[in-house]
Amino acid sequence: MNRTFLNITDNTFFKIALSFSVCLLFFIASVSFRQLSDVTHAQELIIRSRDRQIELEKLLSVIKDAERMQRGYLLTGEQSYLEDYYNSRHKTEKILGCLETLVNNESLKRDNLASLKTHITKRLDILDQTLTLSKTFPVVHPELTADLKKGGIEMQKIQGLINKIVKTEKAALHHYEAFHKSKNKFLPYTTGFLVIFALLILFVSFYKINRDSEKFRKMNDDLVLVNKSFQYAEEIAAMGHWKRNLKTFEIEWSDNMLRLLGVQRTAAMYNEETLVRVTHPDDRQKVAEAMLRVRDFNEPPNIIYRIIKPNGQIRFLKSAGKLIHINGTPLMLGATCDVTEQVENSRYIEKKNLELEAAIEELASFNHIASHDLQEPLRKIQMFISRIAYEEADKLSQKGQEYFERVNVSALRMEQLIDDLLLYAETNKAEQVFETSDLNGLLLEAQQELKAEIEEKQAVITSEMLPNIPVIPFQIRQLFVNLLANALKYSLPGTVPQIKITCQMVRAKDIEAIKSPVSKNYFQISITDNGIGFKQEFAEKIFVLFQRLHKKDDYSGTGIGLAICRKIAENHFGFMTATGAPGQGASFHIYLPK
Amino acid sequence: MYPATLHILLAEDDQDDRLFFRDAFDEVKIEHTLAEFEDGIDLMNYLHDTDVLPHIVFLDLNMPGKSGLECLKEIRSNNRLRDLSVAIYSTSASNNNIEETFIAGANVYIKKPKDFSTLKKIISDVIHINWQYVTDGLNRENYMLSY
Repeated sequence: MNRTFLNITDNTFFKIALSFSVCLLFFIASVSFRQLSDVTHAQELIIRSRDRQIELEKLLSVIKDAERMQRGYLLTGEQSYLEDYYNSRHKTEKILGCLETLVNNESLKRDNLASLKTHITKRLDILDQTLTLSKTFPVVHPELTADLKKGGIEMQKIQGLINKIVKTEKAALHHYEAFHKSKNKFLPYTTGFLVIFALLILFVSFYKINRDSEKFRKMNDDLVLVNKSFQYAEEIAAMGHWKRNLKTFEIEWSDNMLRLLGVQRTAAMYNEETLVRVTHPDDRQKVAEAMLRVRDFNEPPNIIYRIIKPNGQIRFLKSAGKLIHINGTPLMLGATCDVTEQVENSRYIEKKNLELEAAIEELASFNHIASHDLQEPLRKIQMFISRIAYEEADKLSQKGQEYFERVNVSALRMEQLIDDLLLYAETNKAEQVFETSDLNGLLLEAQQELKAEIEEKQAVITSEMLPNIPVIPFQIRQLFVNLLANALKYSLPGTVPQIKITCQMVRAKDIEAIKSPVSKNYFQISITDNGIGFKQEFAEKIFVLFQRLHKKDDYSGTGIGLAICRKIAENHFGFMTATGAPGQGASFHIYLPK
Repeated sequence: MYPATLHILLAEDDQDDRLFFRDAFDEVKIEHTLAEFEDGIDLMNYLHDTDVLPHIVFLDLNMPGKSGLECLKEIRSNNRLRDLSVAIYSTSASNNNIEETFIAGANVYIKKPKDFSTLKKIISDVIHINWQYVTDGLNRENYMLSY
């Protein structure tokens, strides 16, 4: 479910990238704006410069016009020349006024303009003066000539001044044009860069949004799928879930929960009453109390209760909950499942278990009583045998004595059988106490018990160090006794019996015979002899109760001893196997869990 | 310290066992009287009525009516009878029976032998036991008589 939420680092990265982009965009935009305004400014300067030049030229031409018109009048006396002449002063004033607005501190300085103004006024004054003089004096009057000369000088001054201004103006214009050009040169790049960068951000954002929305859509699909499968799983498992807001006490039930309860979804159903209503009357109090504890003490419920479905069917439900907090709101999340089958099964198993226990008990006591009660008449038979043997034997014929001896042997055999059966019954009893015991000691006790046989056969018994483990001591001793007795009994005639007891730790998975190990490691205690052995195909048969491989006359035995051994191993959660070959001895392996 | 005539009681429901017991006692050659009872009820009735208390009571455990263990408990809880010497005489040598009778206060426990000569030896041993010693120093090692 983790992947359905956006990674937080992913989100922060996105935010940082966005703010960085915005900053960069602003920066580029401001640079562009500045460049643009610089260009505009340069253009403006150029235009003004041009304006100034034009105005200056206009000014010059006005004065020249005035001069030309005055000369024309002076030469011809045509009044028409003077028609426009009187406007000249006004025109110059207008142009000067215009120039006034175009003053800057570079090419056209205020004092330049002022001196220009003075010279122009002076020139116009001289022109006026000449005109006035011409009306009183003839054309070539020295005073007039002097005045004209004066006017020429003044004109030259004006020309020089204007030329000077225009020259600086040209230089300035050149400068402005260079500036304008330089600004113009970078403007397309910055604008282009701005556009490209803006596009880039747009694309990245679009890509990211697209990808995220794709991711969200996928997550949503996953979520829907998870929800569906959860619902389905709930349905299969006969489960439902619910949640209860512990602030508002609102209860919410899943569809499957409603199905479990067998109630319909209605608007007014979300209250405690609904559940109590469907609950079996005997369990109502239990359910109500559990719900009260959820509400008042936020205590998660864990109860099994019965409900009655609309069709009258009684079902067992188990409810368990867990307290969680979502955004600070305590919520009791719960799951409810139908445990009717489990309850019925466990009741059935319980019943069967009791029956089984009773049966085992009965069997054990039957076994015990049967063997015990058999002992009674047998003992009397033996008692009579002993009395006949002592008191009446000489009265029997040879044949009678022979038969009598057969009776005695059979009685002895029966005694042995009953003893072994009793021992087997004893071994079967369930209640046994485990004590941590030294197996070396138990083996020694077993050897002690068989001292007579061992000495009689001059058997050589060697043993490795055995472990100290929890066992039922008398059973393990019995196990050793049985196995040693077995080895002694089935020794090869004319050979010294060699019995080796070895012990090693083995891994459960290495031993084929271990079907369902209760431990990873087992102690393997092997008792190996050099006796008559047996065919490997009989390795299992020898452990079966009353199974014998030899004729009774060859080897005495009841066929119970090894069955007891295996039973003892099983009582210790272990087991027993045997390996052997005819004439080459036998090995009995006891596996006890470590 | 042996009485001139030993008074012995035997509670045993099995006829054959009573025969073996009687024969064995006869062969032990000691002055005695032997009273036999077929069950625990008869024995207890006799004990409650008699003026002459026996020296030793042999009790079989498995008897109809009143078991040997019940008789033992009744004897030990009766002021007049509580000092009687009681020998358990049973087929069973199960730990349960031995433990129970030991706790209930029996003096010795005899496992019925399967051999007549052994029975004679046991009876001979039992009547020669220093009962005072057995009663005083009850201990498990001496309690069980087996051959």
